[in-house]
Amino acid sequence: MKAFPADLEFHPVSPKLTTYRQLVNVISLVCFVTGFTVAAVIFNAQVDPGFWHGLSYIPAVWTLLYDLGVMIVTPYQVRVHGWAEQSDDLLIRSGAVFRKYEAVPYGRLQFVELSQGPLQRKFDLANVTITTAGSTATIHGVPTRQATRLRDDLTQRGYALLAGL
Amino acid sequence: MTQQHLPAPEEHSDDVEPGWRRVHPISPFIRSWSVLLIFVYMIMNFSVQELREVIETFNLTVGQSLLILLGLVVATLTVAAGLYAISWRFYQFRITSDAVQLHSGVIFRRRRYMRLDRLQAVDIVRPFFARIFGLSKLSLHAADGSETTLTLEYVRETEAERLRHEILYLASGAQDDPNLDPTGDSIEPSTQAIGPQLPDYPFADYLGQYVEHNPHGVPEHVATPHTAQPAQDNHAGSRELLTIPFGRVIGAALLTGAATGVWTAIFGGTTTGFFIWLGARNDAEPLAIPLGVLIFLIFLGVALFTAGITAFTQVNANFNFTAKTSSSGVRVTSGMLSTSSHTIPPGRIQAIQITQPLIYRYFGWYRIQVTVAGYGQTDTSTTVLPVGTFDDVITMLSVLAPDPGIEYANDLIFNALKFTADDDGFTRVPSRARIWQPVAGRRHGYTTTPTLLLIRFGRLRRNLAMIPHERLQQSSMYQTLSDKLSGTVSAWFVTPPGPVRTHLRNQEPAALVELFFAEAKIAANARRISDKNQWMAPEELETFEKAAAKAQANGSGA
Repeated sequence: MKAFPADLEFHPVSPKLTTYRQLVNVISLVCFVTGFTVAAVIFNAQVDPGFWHGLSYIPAVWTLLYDLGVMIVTPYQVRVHGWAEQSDDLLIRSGAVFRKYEAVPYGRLQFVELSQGPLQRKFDLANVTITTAGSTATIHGVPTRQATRLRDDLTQRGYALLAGL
Repeated sequence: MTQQHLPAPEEHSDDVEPGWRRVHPISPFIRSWSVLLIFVYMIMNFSVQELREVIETFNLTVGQSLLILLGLVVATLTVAAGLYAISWRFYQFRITSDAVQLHSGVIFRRRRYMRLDRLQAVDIVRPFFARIFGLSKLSLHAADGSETTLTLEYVRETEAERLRHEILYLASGAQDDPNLDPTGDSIEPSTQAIGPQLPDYPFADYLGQYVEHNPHGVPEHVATPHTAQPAQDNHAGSRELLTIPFGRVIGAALLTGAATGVWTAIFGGTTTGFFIWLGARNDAEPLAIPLGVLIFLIFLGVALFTAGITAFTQVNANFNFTAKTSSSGVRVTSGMLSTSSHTIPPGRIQAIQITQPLIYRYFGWYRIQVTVAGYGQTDTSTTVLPVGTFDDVITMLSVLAPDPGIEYANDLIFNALKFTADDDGFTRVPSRARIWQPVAGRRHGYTTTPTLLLIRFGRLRRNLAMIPHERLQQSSMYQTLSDKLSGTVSAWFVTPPGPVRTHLRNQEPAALVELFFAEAKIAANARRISDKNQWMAPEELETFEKAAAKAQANGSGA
């Protein structure tokens, strides 16, 4: 999206998000690829041998390739992901290959939610989810302290500009 | 029975806490009529043979068995009546100046609390069975949490009207204005007394913007709103906008029914054809042709049946369709066997979609659906004009989107729906991305007026979505694979869940980025000016009147 103005300053999310995501990717890769491979081996052992036995490895190979792809893209995604607090709305940017911009006017936000899983807590990361009457927008991997500040800030601005539906 | 120590239901008429009210005594019976039907069905199914066996085993005489039967019936009725009385006793509601509360349930208590400033729409529905008893159901829709509907079942028809008036009056914030303050008792009987004090329905002034330049003419009574409004009208500022003639309702229903039938027939024909082909091959299946004929007959039956049912449902729903405006918003009433009446206060409409299905095009008919926060995605009450001419569309738009923001709104909408010209103001899918939308690409695009964002899509079924800038919840701009390949951008302008589609796909990036930022800016400004939680509260009326005056000045100046 080259047409998007380049001079907008986006607040980056924590670089630790890359480590966290890669860890999750590795875990899911190992789990799923092992699972699918074991399933394929067991399946092949149960039925008569045939040339099509290789086909039963498709799920494992597909997961492997997909996860490797995700792992390649992840650092770029984290670098791109960020938010910009403007005077009237909050802009969120995400997506390395398929770029996405979201704008949420402060007056429209119904509530701001902070969530944090156990692994995320280890990395001091939190997700900030903003809910409007129509949909939600999420900023992933904000350092906890900053996330709390962001939530309070957004809530305050929301009250100040609170609008009817 | 878990409800042991309760006073007899007859005593309680005075033990209701002040302010709390009850629904009509027979409403629990109507609420559970389907259960009753099942019960009756079960009794009917109890076979005579089994009865005889029971009588023989206990060696009963005819008189004895009749007595026992009678006793059973009486006992069942008593228990049912008791349960109903208890259930009725625990079903209470209260209307305060800022909320509606409903308490219900005996074992599982339910307490509903709905803030009136979150009220989005009020419906009075009369299901067939309740209508026999002259009762109505009142549904309040709010944008308040996950559970959005509060239903009062059932009250007398006159009381439903009175409750609606009271609730809408309280929700409008009019009571905050000392000039309009009615004492509690004047709410119902002296509606006429409040009437003249309330300003005329502000939307009437806006009609000019749609009517002024209408080359196709608009019915007389619509074109001259103020003179047409009789002073003796009971409801303050209530004015009939349009009714749908019975012939058109029938026509539309038949068309829809026929379309459903045709689809079934095509499907059935294909299947039948396959079987006949099987039978006509060289190594013919002997049974294939008779089977094919049988399937054909079955499908014919199904097609006729679905067509009939669809047509009847439509006629039943749209019979006697009337749209009105009043000081409390747009009111749409319709229905044959079961009737319904929906009231949407001003400023509650989040988005509007004008649709012309392919079969409506020959007749020049349109359908209008709206997104209102309290209604869900599939609620039938989102349809505010099931089948109407272009004039009807314009008339409805003058109340749904009262301020189009431009002088020639009429032409814009007419062109948007009727023609596809290269210079009609709408963007198009650029030719390099046309492969992704080969049919509708030329008609898929947007345009803006100072107050509205218009999105047009669909070629066979033509659609035009209109979103007031100040109603936008959120917007997002993204790229899909097709966008990536052809260098275009897609966007979604988020409104609350509803039937209106507000996506834009494969558009020129530069223009869309501009729209994205413009939209954010306009929306922020427009919201400051025109937020109406309480549409009759003094300061909001003032803004409204200013806008109205401006519109009138523009109208007379042009």
